[in-house]
Amino acid sequence: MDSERKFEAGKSIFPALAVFLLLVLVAGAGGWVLFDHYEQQAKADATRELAGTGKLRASQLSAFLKERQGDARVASDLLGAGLAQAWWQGGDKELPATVRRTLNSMLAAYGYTGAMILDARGVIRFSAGRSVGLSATGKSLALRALGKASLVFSEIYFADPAAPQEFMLDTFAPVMSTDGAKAVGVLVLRGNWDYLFSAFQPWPEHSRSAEFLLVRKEGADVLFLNRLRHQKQAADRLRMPLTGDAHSPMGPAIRALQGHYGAIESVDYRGKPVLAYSLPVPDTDWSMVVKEDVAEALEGIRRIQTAAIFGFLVVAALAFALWWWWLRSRRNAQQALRESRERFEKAFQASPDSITLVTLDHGTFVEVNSGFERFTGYSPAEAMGRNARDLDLWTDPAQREYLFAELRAGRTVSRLDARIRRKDGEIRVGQRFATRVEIGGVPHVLSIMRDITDQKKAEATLRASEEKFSKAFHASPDSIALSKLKTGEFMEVNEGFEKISGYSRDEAIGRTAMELGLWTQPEQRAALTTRLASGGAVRNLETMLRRKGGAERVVQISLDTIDLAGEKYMLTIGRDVTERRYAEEALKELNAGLEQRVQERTAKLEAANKELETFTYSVAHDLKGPLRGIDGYSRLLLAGYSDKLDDEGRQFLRNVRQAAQHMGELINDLLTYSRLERRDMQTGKVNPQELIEALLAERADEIEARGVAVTMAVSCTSATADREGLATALRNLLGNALKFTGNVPQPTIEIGGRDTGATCIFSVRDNGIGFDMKFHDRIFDIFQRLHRSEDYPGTGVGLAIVKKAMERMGGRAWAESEPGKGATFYLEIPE
Amino acid sequence: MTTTRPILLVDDNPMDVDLTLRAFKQRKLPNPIEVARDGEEALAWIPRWEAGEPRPVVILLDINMPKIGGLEVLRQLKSHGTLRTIPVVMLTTSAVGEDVEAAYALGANSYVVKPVDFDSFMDLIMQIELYWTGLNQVPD
Repeated sequence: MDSERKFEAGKSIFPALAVFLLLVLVAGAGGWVLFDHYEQQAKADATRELAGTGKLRASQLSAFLKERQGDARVASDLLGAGLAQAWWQGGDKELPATVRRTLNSMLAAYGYTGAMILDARGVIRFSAGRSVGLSATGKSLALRALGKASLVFSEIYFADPAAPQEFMLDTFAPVMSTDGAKAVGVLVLRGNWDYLFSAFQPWPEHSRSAEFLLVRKEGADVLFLNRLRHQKQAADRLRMPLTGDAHSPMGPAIRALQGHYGAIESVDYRGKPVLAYSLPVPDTDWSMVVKEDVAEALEGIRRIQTAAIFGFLVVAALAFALWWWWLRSRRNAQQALRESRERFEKAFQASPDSITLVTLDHGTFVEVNSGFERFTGYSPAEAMGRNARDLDLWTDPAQREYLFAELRAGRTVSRLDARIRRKDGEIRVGQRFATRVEIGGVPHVLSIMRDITDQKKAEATLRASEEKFSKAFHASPDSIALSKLKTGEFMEVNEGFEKISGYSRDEAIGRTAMELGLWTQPEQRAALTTRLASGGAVRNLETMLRRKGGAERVVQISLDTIDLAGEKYMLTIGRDVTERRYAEEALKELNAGLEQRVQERTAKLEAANKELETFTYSVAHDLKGPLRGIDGYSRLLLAGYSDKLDDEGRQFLRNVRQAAQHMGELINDLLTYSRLERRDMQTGKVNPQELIEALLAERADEIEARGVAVTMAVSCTSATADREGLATALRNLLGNALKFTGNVPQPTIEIGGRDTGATCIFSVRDNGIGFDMKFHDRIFDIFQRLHRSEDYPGTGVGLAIVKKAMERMGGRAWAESEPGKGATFYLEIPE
Repeated sequence: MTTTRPILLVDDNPMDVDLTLRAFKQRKLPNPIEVARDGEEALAWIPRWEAGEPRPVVILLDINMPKIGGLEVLRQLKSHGTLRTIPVVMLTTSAVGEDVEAAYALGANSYVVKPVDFDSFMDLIMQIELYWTGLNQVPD
């Protein structure tokens, strides 16, 4: 079926898949660009935050250092106001109490853990607090402060290197001479600034990776000054070589120490990618690096990204699953459709009904099944592309218009009986169901048509037969009664019943024949019922019936059973034959009398016939005898006494002889005719050829003498006839033919015998004088002559004999002729 | 044969008898012709033949005759112990088939219908004479 394509939409899934993948790519790329943008933004934000925090911390640190500087200056100034000089010069063993008090209160007030005063040689001359003493480094720093006469800070260090917990910072402030020209000593203030560095430690906001780094270049190494978040013991201890670039580990610190401050994205001391911001700490050679793991900076965005990717994947997976499900369901649907189509196709083709699919617009056949071909006689090839109008299928095109109008109006047409003209011209009745279907968006009509011609005929026949039965039931002069076989209760009776039984329909219905007392011999009824119940029937049974009022009638009844709606009924048809019975008896008596009379009459007739025969004999004998005398004596008179007579006398005698001879012929013919009448025909097989030859032989002399041309063509080989009768007829015809060609120059006679299959038609044709057809019937009557006897002598009995002979043999005779053109006589006889 | 045996003509019609006799006479027939004018007369000959009178060479017998008809004469002759050998030729006007049949059934030796035409009648007599008195042999 080539319309398969129409039913399957979008066979290829690849375009859809391609579009889907493209969408994924675009979404991916868009997402990537977007996320990149957000990442950059997040990094920038983080960096900005780092920078802010760094600057704040740097300024805090710077302020702290300035405070420490201030403290140191105040203290050193205190000492410097000639005090130290005096102390040292005076050789006071004890620091003046005021200074001591000042230092102690400073220690207490500012959180210093210890204070030391060193002389110009760097010898500790005074110490206070709990943490005193100088390391080599401390000493060198003290010397530097002496040398430079400026404030020097120590590195941040741990009080106890073994237990890196307390951040210590020493401030070395030069104690200037009273004139302020040179440093005469160094005030060392040692503080435990753990709180400060501890304050560095926590990030202002919650962060897992953000930290400050305080670094300083020492030789070729990077020295980490503060405690590291990820390496607790780093401060003042972790040193790493200052090699590599921004992208090597510790990139930010290296860059900062190289003097490149600002934002940088690099790798930290752990080798982790970080966002960093570095700046110098004012008044120190420290650099501050604020950093945060890139991971953390991008944590939010990553989370969103992950969520987005996850979401995207989920959506994609969902889409894929959906697509797969759609594919599968569509494949299932297609399979189902295909199966349904196959089933439809099978049903379509196998249906004994005619099924057609036509377009709604012009009714063009798109599909027809074999049922259509059977119904209409048109093959699918003949129908395709044409419509019912082209094929002249509808005997009433208005019905077709109606059908299409209904379908166009969106209605379904069912049980439309239409007379359809087949290809061979036969008209058949089809019952049609039609509905509108859309195929590929084009409106079509699916039409199923069943041949109900026979059904219609059967219905009509049944209706007619029911009508006939009903009519017959009521119109019948006979009594017809329908009663239940079981109970004998009358269900329906007709007018004939009313007439014969004397009971009205109302009186009879619901009662039984026994109740009405119709049976004069009730035991007969029981016997009949038994016979009917066992499937038998009763025909023309004569019985006595007692009418209402008691009169008895002879009734001839026939009984049979019929099934009506599952119940057995007895149908009784009765005829009143009382009169006929009497009439028959009377007739019998009459017949007996009649038979006797017939016998008497027949005997009389036979006697009369005998008498007639005897009469005929005597006519023959008694008439012919005298004639022979007349002729004989006339002849003798002519022979012996002709000299005694004159010419006239002799002519008289010749006339006498001629008349006598004619009368002889007449008597012979009459005898022949009467014999035909009474003689029994002895029918047998006669050979026509032989018979005709014999008849010709009888007249051979005359034929030869006159030079008559006789031809014979007898194809009939056998005829069923009385030989003598047929011979008589043919002999007469031959005689006539010879007679009536007597004055013709070249007399011709053709004798024929044609075989028609069942009969033999003999013909005798002559070229004689012929006759007018208006005399046709007359010539076959006795004593009818058309010519004067002196022209053509004859008795007028010949053709009557022919006709009689043929009638007696079950044949017939007729003639065709025209005056002057000869005549043809025909005899037809059974073969 | 020492004596010429007669011909017996049985016919009731005098003109027919006369004409027949004339016909034989014209043929100059040597045989004497006896005539019986009806059946009775014909049957009267039987005792005479039995008594030794010469029997006829042929009997020409008509059928329709008063009193005793030709067929009855034939029946008696042909049922006679010795006389049944005498040839009997039915010479009659009747051409009725039943008569022909009945005659032959009773033992007639021939059946001839008398024509009305005298010339034909003469021919007929001549041929009868020729055959029955000339050609035909009869027992003594």
